Amino acid sequence: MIKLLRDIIFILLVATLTFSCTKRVEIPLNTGDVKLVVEGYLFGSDSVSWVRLTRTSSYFSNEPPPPVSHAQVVVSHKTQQWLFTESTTHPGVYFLLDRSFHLIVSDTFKLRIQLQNPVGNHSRYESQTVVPPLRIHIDSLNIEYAPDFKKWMVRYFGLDFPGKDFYLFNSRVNGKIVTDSILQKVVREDVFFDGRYVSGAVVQVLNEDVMKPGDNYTLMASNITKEYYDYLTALQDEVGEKNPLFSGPPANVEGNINKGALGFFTSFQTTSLQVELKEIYDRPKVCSGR
Amino acid sequence: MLTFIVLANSGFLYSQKAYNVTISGYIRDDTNGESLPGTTIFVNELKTGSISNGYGFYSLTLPRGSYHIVYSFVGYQSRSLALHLQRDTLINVEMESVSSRLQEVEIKSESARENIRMPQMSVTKMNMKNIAEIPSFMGEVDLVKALQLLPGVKFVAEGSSGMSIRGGGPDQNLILLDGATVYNAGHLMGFFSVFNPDAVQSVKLYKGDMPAAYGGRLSSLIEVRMKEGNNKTFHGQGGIGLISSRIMFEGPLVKDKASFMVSGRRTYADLFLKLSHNEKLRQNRLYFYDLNTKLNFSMNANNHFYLSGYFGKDVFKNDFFGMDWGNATGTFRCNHVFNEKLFSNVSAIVSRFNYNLGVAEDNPRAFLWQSALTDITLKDNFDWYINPNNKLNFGFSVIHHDFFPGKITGTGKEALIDEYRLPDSYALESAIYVSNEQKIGKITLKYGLRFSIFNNMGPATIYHFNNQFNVTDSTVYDTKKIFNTYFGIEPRLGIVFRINQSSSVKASYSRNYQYVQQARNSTAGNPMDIWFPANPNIKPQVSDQVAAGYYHYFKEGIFSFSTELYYKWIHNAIDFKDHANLMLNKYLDGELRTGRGYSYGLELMLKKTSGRLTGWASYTWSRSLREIPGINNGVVYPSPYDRPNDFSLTLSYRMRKAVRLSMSWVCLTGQPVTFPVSRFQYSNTIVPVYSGRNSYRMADYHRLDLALVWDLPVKKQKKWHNQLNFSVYNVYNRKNPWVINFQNDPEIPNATYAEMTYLFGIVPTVTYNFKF
Repeated sequence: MIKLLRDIIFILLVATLTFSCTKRVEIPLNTGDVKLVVEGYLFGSDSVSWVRLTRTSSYFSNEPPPPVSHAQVVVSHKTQQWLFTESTTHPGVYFLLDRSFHLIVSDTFKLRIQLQNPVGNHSRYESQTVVPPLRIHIDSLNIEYAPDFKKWMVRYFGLDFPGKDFYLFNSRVNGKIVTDSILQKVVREDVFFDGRYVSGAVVQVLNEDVMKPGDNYTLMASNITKEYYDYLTALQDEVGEKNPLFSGPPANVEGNINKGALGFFTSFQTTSLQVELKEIYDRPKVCSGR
Repeated sequence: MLTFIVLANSGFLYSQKAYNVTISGYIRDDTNGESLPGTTIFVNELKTGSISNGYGFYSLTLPRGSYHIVYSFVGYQSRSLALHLQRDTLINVEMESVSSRLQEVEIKSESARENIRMPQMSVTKMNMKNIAEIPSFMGEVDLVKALQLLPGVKFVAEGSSGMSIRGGGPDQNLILLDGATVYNAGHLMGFFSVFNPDAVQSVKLYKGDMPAAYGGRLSSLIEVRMKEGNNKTFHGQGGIGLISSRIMFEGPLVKDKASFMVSGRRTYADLFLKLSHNEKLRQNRLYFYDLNTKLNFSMNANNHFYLSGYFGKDVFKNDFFGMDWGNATGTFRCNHVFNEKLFSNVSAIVSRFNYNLGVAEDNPRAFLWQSALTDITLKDNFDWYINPNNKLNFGFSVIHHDFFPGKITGTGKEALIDEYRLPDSYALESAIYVSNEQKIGKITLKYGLRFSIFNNMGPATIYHFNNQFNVTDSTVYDTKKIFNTYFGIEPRLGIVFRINQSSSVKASYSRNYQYVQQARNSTAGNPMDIWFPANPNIKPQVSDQVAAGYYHYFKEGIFSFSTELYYKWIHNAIDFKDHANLMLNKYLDGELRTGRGYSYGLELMLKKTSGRLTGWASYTWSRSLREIPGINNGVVYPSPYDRPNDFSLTLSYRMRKAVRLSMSWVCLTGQPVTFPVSRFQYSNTIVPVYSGRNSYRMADYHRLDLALVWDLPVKKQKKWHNQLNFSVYNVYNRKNPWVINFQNDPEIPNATYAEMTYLFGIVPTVTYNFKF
């Protein structure tokens, strides 16, 4: 809510002043050291867990991130361990295909990566994550069309359990995830509504061209760790537009991979609710489901 | 300390038998009765003198005899009185403004010499009359923008009222309006200052070397004085500008005894929104207003009372959302002359800044977010003119701070929040001080001490943090209980050596404690940046500044040149961790990181104060650096205000009797910024990997502004004066970067680009001013 208010104030201020202009500029930049980047997820039985390994590249390289192939990627829990398999079609992406793998709530899972060739002066990297319990349930959702902003706004109804919670919300339309970039994801902490029934909090804001009447919309909600919440909010800060009125200084986003590697290894479970988007009325409320 | 100074001066007291006559009184403007603080009183025969204090009072003890005493003040015709002094004498002096004489007058002022003589360093005084001639943005005469043209003073962002003085942050400036702290000096997100030009008499800037009577900030004191009100005749003035109109009335309530001043300003920027094609934009309301008032009453020669107030607010609202913020101050002051040598000023002051924002109440999920800071201050200040060679200043001040950092209340039927409130906090900030100004031949010394105490008071909740800045526990304190105390010993030392009648060298050392600061992580800041106190988790910030300077005037005071060299250390310097959360955060203390800061620089200024062409050129070379564990890997980094080269040229040329052309040109090194050096991809998004903090710079900033002030002809016997002010901001349309963002290209996968945002191109304005 705070970020939304900041954005509203800033956008309206600048729009009101109508003096600001933008233009693209050429800026020569140095290139930093190459580092390993890890994007890793452990999911429950409903999805396949995966890890992507890439390298950093120069800021204006304008190429896809260089993949890191032929690595050994292993996840372990106590004495058990499972090996990831690299995709043949997507180099650098490793899937956990072993069906014996399952998450254990509140336990720690460790990730070990052994590279064929060093990246960032190291060949072995490690991380670990705790599996947060799934404490969120979607009672209902409501989808409004906001004509002023030309956006779909998805509202969530459900009980927030007492205790500190951090949530991640994603959207799927006709089975396809439409919130796969950082700025489209919504993360919330329950500081303002801890232990209360949440009646209509906006948890997704989607462009109008993302869906149309007749589409199946699915809201996905997950509990995430505080560390992953902090990581995502910091990423959102860094990839969003900055301004001298509200933005702090740019800063690197610390992940949870050791030896200076970038990225994050995390785990969460997801609950979801699917509805069919029926029609658009002039009135804002267009669809709800249970 | 007081005892020490009195004993140290006992020899002077004893020898006072030789100085058996004291002249004292008030110095005022002859047309409106306004006091003239800082007026020079010079005794030709003895080559000695004094200056009037902040209320225009002066006192000078001399041997009996005949003297020529010259009273001088910038912008006024010097007055010389031939006096045969036999006993203590009250001499109230009224001085004639140069402009009121409507003829060219050469100012061969003693005032220029005053800067040569006084031990106070790094101080500049500006009158609104001069500030009004400087080209202004959108026609809004702005004293803060004028101060930004002085050496050592930098704006924090394009168009901002925020100032960095000698490398310090904007919250390190103590801004006083008639003695009351102004916590937010900006309107409209800082693009305009809160000081209505019609209501202000003068501004005085101290760059670190503050008098012992002031403290609580590390970088500067900005003392703004409102007009007292004309106690001779009724007058008014005002103006109609592009974005605002203003009006001021002043006049006597009892002639020569009591007067009033009331002034108002209101913007109408939102009227332009009506021209927009966007219906939603047309529904927005955006304006600010100011109301300044002052009453003063002279009961008799020894007692004078002042009552002044300021109320200002910014309002921004539409059908969905509303926000307002503003300052309110009230000052009651009593000047009492105990005798011809002892003057006191007692002040009782209230100062408040608050903001409210929320969603309209008819919205089922409406909420209201409120925050405020309220100060109540009591001060008593004494000036004791012991003898011509010693002037003692002493007193005390007590400030009660009431911090209400924030509360959100759900007001709609389906509000998502009941109430969320950050714990309030309370503090007492007290100080006693004494300082003496002592003349010894060609040397004048200034030595003083300020002893400050800061008490945190209950009720309060203090959170405890471990080494990783995670909350481990909390302690709740009862109402009125003092649970934490800091104190500071703040020496203020200065020396001036007069090389000859036209040049001197000075040196100074000062220590300042700052117990209250702002949670501001951005460079320009916004009204929602709250102020928070030192507490068991946050030590007070401390600065030590040493400075040395050379001062010279030539051509009979028409030109003056000054140069100052300074070095400043800041201990317990505060910055915030990467990605700090400063809004509505109960655990704000855990977002802070402390370390050290330091800045140094060389400031040069050449000034011409009379003739058809007046103005000044200033150049500053400076650095401002920080070293804070937990930020930038603990490596030294430039502060956001580190802009090594800063040049400005401000000129005013009287083309004809009624036409003046003025210009200001500023050029300074680009702002330090953090740019990416590589990138990675996470969740289908390109994320920048940054260089060290502030290791790059934006392009250099430069801008030329012009103004033409035309006093329209006045018919004989008509009291109404009209003036047109044509102003052009950014004459050659320089696109100075406000911010540079690095973006993912929406059209080309995996492509990124840099985009500069600039705010103001060329902005011509015309303002109509009137006076009667």
